[in-house]
Amino acid sequence: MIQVFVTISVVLGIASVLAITVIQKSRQIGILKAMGVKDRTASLIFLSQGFILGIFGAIGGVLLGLLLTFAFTTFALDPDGNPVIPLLIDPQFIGISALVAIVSASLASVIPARKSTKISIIEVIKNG
Amino acid sequence: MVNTIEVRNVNKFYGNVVKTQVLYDINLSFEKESFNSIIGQSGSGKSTLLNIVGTLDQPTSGEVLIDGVSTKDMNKNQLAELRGAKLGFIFQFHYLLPEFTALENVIMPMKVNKKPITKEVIARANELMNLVGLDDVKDNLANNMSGGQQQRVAIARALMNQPDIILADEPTGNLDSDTTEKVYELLREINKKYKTTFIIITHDRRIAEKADRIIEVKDGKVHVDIRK
Repeated sequence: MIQVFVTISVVLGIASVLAITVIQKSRQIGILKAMGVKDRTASLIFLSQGFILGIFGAIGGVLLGLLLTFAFTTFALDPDGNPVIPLLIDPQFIGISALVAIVSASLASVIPARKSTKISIIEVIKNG
Repeated sequence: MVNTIEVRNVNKFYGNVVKTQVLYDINLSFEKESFNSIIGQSGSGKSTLLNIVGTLDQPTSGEVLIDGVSTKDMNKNQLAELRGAKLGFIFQFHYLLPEFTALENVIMPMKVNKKPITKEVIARANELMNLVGLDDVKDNLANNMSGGQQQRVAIARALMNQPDIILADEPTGNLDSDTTEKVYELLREINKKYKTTFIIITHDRRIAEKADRIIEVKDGKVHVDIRK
């Protein structure tokens, strides 16, 4: 159950970070639209940003997870010298976790991507 | 001469609750290959007019025809395509993409319109850089240039697609008078060399007088229209 809430909060976190990038980049998006970029293409920028973020997050998360697991089994020993927690690496579980990370990051970027389609060139030009 | 742009009975209102009329029944046409200037006080509606001509803004009523085709019923994608193919913009602020070099910024319109970046394209970008006098700094990031240089990059960028029409809203608003002079000479040169139609907003009367035609907008109406 806790995983669900962690995922939700991560999705919201990523979405808000990306939403800020949309605002920061609205000038650039505006000028690209003036050059002839379509709304779909503009939103792809943010979708791919979310996807890339998800991939790096998944790689980073898996590596950190493995490192911590190895650290625990090496250093956290009971008086007999056996690890407190036995080493158990389940590739399938790692795969699913990585997938969840990528999918949730991509999903999170849908909101800012939609937002970017609403940027009007006129607003950008007027407000500099 | 053939008209490339026609503005027919254009009215523009702003605001939903309190409606303010900015343009009153504007009728104008611009000839191909002409060099036009629009002058007027701030708030006169000249920028709104230019934005409507450039399909960046929609008129409340009336229509704009570009090369005989009405833009009235086009959807956002069709308008984007039209802009990519026929129109070039130079704004008061350059809006370069800071992540890219000057040369890459100039090539951007080609990338945006999904045209292949061939050797000819790069050669043309280099030629344009040369034309605007930025050969030495073309590999600088957009932020590592002076204001005047950035504005000239924006001009080169507007020319990259070889648009038929260039719309410029106070392109030299942020530049000193010497650079202003240079930029206008450059635009004039481009107008002659590439047969590009220019519509330029300026508040500098000296500059306006160098154009083929001066249109003065006052309180949302065409006040004076002088052709040379």
